[in-house]
Amino acid sequence: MRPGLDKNQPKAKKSKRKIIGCCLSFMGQFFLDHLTQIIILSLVGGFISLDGLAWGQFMFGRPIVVAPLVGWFLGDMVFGLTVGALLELLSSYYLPIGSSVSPDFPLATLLTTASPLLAFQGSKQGQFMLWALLLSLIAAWISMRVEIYIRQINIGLAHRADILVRKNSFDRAAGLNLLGLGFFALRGFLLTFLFLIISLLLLRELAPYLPASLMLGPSMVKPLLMALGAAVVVELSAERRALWIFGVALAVSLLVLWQNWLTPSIFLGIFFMFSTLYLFLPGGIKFVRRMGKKA
Amino acid sequence: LSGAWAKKLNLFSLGLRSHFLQSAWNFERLQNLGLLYALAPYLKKLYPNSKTLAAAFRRHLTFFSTNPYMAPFLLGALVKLEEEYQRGETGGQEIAAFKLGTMGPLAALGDTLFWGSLRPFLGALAAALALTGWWGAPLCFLVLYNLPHLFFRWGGLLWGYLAGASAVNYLKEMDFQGFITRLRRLMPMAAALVLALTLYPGRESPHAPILIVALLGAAYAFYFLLRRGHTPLRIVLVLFALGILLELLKVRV
Repeated sequence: MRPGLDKNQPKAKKSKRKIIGCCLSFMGQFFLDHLTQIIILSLVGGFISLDGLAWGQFMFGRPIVVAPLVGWFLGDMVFGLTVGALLELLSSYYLPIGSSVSPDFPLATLLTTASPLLAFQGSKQGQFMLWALLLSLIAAWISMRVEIYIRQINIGLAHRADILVRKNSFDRAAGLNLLGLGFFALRGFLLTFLFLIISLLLLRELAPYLPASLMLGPSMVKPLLMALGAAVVVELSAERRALWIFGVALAVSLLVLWQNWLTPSIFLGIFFMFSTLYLFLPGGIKFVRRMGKKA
Repeated sequence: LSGAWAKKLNLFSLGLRSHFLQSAWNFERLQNLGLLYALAPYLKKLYPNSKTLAAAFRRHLTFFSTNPYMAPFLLGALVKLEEEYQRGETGGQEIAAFKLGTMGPLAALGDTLFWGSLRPFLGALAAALALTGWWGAPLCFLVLYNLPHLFFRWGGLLWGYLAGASAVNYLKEMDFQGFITRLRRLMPMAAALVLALTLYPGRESPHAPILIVALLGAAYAFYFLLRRGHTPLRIVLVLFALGILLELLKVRV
């Protein structure tokens, strides 16, 4: 090695350390400033992880609920509503039937909403929504693998219950069920905390260095993602004439909204009333007829 | 507490515990621990003798899997059967056979009604509401979804308990299939509303007609891709790459 380089090397190392140190202290300060928010969001993550499978299934963890809630908490509810609408449609595809395990959409929704809002403090969240979504989908996949692992661990609980019943320890056998509850809550809390920090770090530190093509490109396909979401719901309907119904309903909706015959809110209200009548009227008529016959 | 009140309280506790049915969901016997957890207090009151109690616990530690919203219906019927067993009116094998024979059809009904129809329909409706920027969209979704959910949970529990093994016959009389078919016809309509509201902010743009045709074409293309077994996540990744490629080629949409 040349003597000149030898002299310069410690200086280069020092400057690198300085930069890394600066970055770490800056990030450390950032996390300290937002620690309360990160912990509250992680607790929300733990709760929605429970609601998805282990307790209740009240659907508090659905994207359409989680995203606006997180958006409201971090100061931009409209952003939360947009993320929620998109992810709600996409997640409809995955049905929790039998022993199927699907990607953790509650976690993905929380991260997609919270990480750009926290990282950019409400200035560029729209631009980075899809980058956040991409990172969140990786987290959702990892969370799915963890869920599979927990379900395997729970087999041990079932075997333990057999042993406890044999020993006449009935309360402990039944109580083992709550241990599983703890596993799911812990998964939600820890993964939310971990991935929130990772995605914040990536978004905050890498965003300034991304070329425009990488930054703006994904934002262009946002309307296409809504079309994908709509296609998911149409496909899920498994109705023979679904494509026809979809086409005609779209034409009618566009005509009514484009011609300003009705505002979107009134149009949705009318659709809701039509749906209610369509769903319950045939059953109601049958019920009245049956009662008439009995009378 | 008098006998009737104690019974009501026990049923209430059973209903609350039914929310924990999937807490220790496992790949071997699925919801067995949750079922045992829900039934345990009732069984303990029913069988003071530890030998008969152990036999009852073992009966309910076997494989169990059904839709969590329909499970209370089965739980109510199982409690009724256990009471009959204690009085010597039925056998343990009959209880096991009833459980095995009922959980499958109940799971099919619950999964189709709640997971496959009601949730996607209400999700799409709430998504359309959210696109108008109304803050009440999530609240609407929660209320409209949980009304039938809680009705099936608590009504099912009571119904199952009152009817016992014959509860299934009542279910057959209800026109669930007709309701599900109608719900599934409404799903494409809700999806169309979502797409129309996505396009709505750009209605004044001169490119609006092109965007409508492009999105309609894309929706149909995605539908066929989904039918061919491609998952939405795979399509999202392809779209993501496509966006970057278009921006690199300076093609702006």
